[in-house]
Amino acid sequence: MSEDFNLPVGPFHPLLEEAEYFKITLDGEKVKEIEMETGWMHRAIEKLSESNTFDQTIFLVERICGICSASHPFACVNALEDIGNVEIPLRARYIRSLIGEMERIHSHLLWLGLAGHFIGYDTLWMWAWKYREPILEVIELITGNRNHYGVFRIGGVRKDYDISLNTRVNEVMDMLEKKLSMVAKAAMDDPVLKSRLCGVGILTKEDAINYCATGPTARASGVAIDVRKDEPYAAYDLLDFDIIVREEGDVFAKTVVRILEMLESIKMVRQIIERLRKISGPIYNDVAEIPAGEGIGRHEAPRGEVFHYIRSDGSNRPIRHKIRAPSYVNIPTYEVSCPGMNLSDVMITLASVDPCYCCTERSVKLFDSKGTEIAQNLLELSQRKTDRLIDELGESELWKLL
Amino acid sequence: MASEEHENDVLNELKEKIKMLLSKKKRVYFKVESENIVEVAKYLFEKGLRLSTISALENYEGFELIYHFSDDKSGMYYCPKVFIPLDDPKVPSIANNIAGAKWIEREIGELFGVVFVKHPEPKPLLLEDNPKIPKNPLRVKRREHE
Repeated sequence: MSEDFNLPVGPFHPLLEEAEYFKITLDGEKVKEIEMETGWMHRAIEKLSESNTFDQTIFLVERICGICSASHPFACVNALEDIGNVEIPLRARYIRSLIGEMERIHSHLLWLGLAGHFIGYDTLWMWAWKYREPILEVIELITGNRNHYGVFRIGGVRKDYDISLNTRVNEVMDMLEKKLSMVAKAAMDDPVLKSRLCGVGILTKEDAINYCATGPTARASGVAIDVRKDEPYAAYDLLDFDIIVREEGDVFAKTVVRILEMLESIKMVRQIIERLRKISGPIYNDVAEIPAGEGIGRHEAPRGEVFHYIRSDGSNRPIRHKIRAPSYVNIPTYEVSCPGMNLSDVMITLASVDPCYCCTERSVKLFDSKGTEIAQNLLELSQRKTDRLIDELGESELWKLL
Repeated sequence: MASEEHENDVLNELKEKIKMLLSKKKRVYFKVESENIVEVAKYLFEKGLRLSTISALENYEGFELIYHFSDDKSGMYYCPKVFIPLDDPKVPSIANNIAGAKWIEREIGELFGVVFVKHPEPKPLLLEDNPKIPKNPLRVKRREHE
């Protein structure tokens, strides 16, 4: 008679990008149940936002995620513009979409590389990350940074797009399209990859709806939702693109959705830079103040719908800023997609929603009963510990230990 | 307008249970009594709406819970609001009908101290069980005279 075995994974584990704890209950090799514990990535963003002005808030939320760093400010400015009914100039709308799509390409390439690495297909990992570099370089040419672009502001964008970059962007897009088609073919027709990924970690359509999943996780399960189509913002209503939907719901379907989405994004980037050539005008409208009220803003980030709710009382700070990242609704789907599988399939299933824990757990600032912040200054705590060790051991002994 | 017709279509059956607060471009906010929220949420969810999240905030009068239901076919947001008193913050849980609400309610429960009645697993989500960590960190700290 077999007995249940509990296998802890995390919070720090070589195959997890970030800290997260999974308690996997096993019956032999089969997964019976998976429990998740979160909370290692707290940075108090929601509370911090209440003490920042609206302009500072945009920079603050940009720091929530290092990979999709345009998603949160994008949703945040959408929310602020929803409160004030702010119109933005056409040129700014196109530039916003351009940044959003470039980011989608490099984020999906990052995921593709990681997914390849998790299943031991390191060639795919090296391909994907090699082709990710040129796109990061182009983003740097456009915004001045590989990540954390600082482009978004209320009423428009901060930085104009230079038309002379069109040649370079087109070159990179041509190269990427060629290479991505090659990777897509190599990955999608590979019998080994298919037998490894098909039928693994299936998330049914009913479960995807019940768990309110978003983004590629939902679209790979046959739920055709995409904020860019459902409630067009920026320039998405002016662009020609398709939503990629697959019915299978397994890891392979999620891979295919992401690869094909990158090709759609390349299509959009080409349209945008071609139209920016003809559109002139300001890149932002001046916004004097944000009136009292409440606003909802969202953006289709690489991982799904980013949701920001902001309540303003007419001052220059939000009184409540609720942030819901896509991973927050996608991670709980493990509860239904993991049980019944082999243990060896769990890791790739966990990776298949492209989880981002930094985004998921952004919300608490801690005070003790006297009102002082706890863990506010890790550097100071670390220095204090070093001082204590020097007192106890003496400096020379401490250096020997190190 | 097409979206207005659609709005009426979705909310018609709920007429007696809701009180309209604000309706603007693609956003509808309405008030729901806390005992009706399970029924309203279930009705909206079965209409094919997706629960984006629940926002909680603290006012002088009490807690305000805003349920954001997204209609992905029309891009509309239907937001039932539930107002609950500060001294007895209890609201029925919708997580038994909508699995996606489980984490959201657990988070609000620990950050604001709102009790979700009949929640399937009422335990904290983010904070660890540590006496150093204050309870309900997102509660507003008011001075005595307020």
